[in-house]
Amino acid sequence: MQGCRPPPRLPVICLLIALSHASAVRAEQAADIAASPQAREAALAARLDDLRQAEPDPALRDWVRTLVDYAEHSRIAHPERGLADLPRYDIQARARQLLRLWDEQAALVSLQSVPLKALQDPQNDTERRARRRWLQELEPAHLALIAPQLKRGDLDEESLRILVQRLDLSADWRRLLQQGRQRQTVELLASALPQLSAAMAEEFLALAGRNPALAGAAAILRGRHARFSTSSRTRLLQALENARLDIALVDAAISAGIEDLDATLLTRLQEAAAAPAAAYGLYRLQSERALQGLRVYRESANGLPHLQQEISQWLD
Amino acid sequence: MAGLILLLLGGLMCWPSLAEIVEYTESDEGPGQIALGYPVPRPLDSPTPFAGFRSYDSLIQRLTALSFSDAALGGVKLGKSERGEDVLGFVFGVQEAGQAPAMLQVGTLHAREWAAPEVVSFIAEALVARRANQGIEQFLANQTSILLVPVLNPDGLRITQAHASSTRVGEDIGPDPQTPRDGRMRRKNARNTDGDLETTVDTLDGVDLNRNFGPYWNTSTRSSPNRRSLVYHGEAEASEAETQALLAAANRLGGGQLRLFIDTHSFGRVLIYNDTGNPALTRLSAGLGQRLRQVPARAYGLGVASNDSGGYGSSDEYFAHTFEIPAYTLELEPGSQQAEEYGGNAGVSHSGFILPEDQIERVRQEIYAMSVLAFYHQAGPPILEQVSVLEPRSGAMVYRARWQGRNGERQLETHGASLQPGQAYRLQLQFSKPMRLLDQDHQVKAYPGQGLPTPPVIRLRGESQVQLLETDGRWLQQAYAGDLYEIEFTVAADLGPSAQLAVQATDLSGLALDARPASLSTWQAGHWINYEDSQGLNSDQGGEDSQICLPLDPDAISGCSPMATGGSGGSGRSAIWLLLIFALCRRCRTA
Repeated sequence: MQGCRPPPRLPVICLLIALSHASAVRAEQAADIAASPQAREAALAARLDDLRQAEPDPALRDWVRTLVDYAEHSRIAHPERGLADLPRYDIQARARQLLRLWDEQAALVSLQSVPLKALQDPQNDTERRARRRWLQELEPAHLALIAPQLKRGDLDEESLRILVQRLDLSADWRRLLQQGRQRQTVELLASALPQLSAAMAEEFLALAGRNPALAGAAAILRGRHARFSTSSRTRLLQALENARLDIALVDAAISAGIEDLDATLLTRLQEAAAAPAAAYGLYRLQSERALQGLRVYRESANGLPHLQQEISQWLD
Repeated sequence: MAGLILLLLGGLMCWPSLAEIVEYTESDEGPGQIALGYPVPRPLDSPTPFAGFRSYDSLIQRLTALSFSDAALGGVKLGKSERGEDVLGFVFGVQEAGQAPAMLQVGTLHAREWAAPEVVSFIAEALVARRANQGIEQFLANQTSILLVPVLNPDGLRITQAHASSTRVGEDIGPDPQTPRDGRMRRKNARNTDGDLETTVDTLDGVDLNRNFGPYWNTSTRSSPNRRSLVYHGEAEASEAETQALLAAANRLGGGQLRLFIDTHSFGRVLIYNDTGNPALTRLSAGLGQRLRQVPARAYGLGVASNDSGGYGSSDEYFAHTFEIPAYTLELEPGSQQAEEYGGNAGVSHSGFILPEDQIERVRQEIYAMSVLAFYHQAGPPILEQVSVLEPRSGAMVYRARWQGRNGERQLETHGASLQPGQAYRLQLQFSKPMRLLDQDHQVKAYPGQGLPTPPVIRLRGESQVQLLETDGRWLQQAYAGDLYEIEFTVAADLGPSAQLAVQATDLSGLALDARPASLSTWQAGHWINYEDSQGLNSDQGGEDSQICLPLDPDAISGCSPMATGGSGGSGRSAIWLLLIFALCRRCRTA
């Protein structure tokens, strides 16, 4: 497991590595004495880990670059059956990670010394990560100053979320909810909803609901919000009675725990356009009244044939 | 003394630790923490797909809702899990069992492999969303039954999702006690387990569902009789309720129609097929695998599993051997560098099972394209279904030949007038499936990873000479986008009274034409049958269709008919003809 370098069941080597934390060079020498490929590679891995804290000079970088193509001798079984084995110490991967880390650190230092560089669109993931770290660290006043310029460029979702969390501007919220695709964006909205005004909560939920990537989660959130918000609950009830009944509305209503929802859905089951969503909702509710309504619909002369067939599949 | 302390510390750091619960984190590396280098994925209640992993309930609600809303998708209860949860399948396309070529793709035999349920669910969602696109998906909706089982092990998946960031180490009975077990890293089903990570007695329990299948159940050391083993094979073959549910899935499709099985796992970035000892099946499985592995932007590896020294007791073995169909284990990404492939931390054991959330949208799309190509391929070889010769300016029909299906075979129906040598015409070739992908401007585009197919080669074979027609035609839509190829041509002057139209073409998956459409090709005993080559022989390769005769003289219309089936072993007609001729000759001699 991570945190134990090298892995357990090699106490002598581990001892060498434990000693080596003070000096990567000494570890390497010690491993050389052990003279087995596994020992050498364990020491190499430990040295690479230690170098995370180091200031890289060109020679050190060159040395680490040579390890990106390192052919590791020490292997372990792949946890999936019969697949090619895996490198035990991930020397290549550790080298790549170290180079990324150094690049990211360098990019961060560069941003800290020349903040205007943040206005240039990041060229790769490393620069993107560095800019996010910088945005997190920036003084709020400075962030507010630079944010309008930043928003004109290539702003990834994580960075936009940082702006929302740190500046809490409605315009940023709207952009995030229109463009967002990530769980953390949904969670941010969920945590913010109780503090928002009823109108703003409704607007934000609607924005998320129109974003295909967030629409499903937004429906669930809308229902959960309606458990505590009278206005939101009222709107949901009105929609259930009168609006076009779709799956998202049913999901929201079930999440909200609307009373007598089965009765409402049974009524709407009689409308051809609303019947599939109503039937789905009734099946999810699983109340005796809902199931009985589905049985009746299945036998009805006016039901949609596909839906009747589907209900049979699910009820049997 | 200091040295002794260091020695003890080093030993404590690295000697097998006691059993403990550890937490996955993004960056914190304190005691009992394992930093991944990216946000720890957590399930979200979201029926629709997003850049992350959906909760089990959300996945099922989404597919249930689609099945209620759309006639192209039907839900099926395949059985119950160990804890009594429904094991659900969803049939896309033809709903009646046994009425169409059938495919089966399953996911989540292993609970910790979260990419699998997302991928298999997304296949159902995307097929439904695109089922009226007049392209491949619409063809699949009309011509195939595709049963998708996103989660065969719902109990296990629920356990991993309930402990999205925690697992137990220090208890494994394998070579490395630190191998993570239970919680986020549960692999097996929930037999003898309570789902509570705090209780220690059941950490290692459960049955590895992918070791519970025949015919190679308990035939090698690749599975274990020890119930605490990660690869415990269960008390008997198909002892587990979830295993039985997958067997029921095959029955639901009508076993005789089943042509493809894919079991979706992670990790490894490799597609594995089975060498069952049936050379044709092995060759065809390898050939299709070669195509499929290249669909993702970063190609997958291709592996082969043989049972020379016993087997695993895995699902792909069961389907390959029982149904003699291409049966794959698809190990999704990452490859051997695990989390580091995505910028995560190197050296984190088992991190390959924790795909970062920001990768799953791409993986869904790539594996969708891979699976659709597999379904499309196994739907069957294309035929040249109809040939139309039109007046180029008016578009009026001059001559038409069309294969019509009747009683399990096809007959060619023709009508129209003869063509005039030296006259210009428009030739339309309509195929039985979409042969090309078309972009918004109706230009041919390559299927992911497959390269641009070459245009059809079209010849007119006269009595004494062959006319090669121009190949700068265009692809259009008849029933499906890209199923119709149209060119302009002028009939050469000296072909004779009639000419055979000879067409070579391959579909998007590289299948050549069934050169003798009269006999319906199908899948049997591990290979295609009635899939004739240019000589009319059963070949599994197809070939040039030269069955259509174009009359170039009014007197030739009645004599212009399809060529004899030739040596087709499928119909046995040639053998009957030979017998008749033999009998006639005997009579002649006797007379």
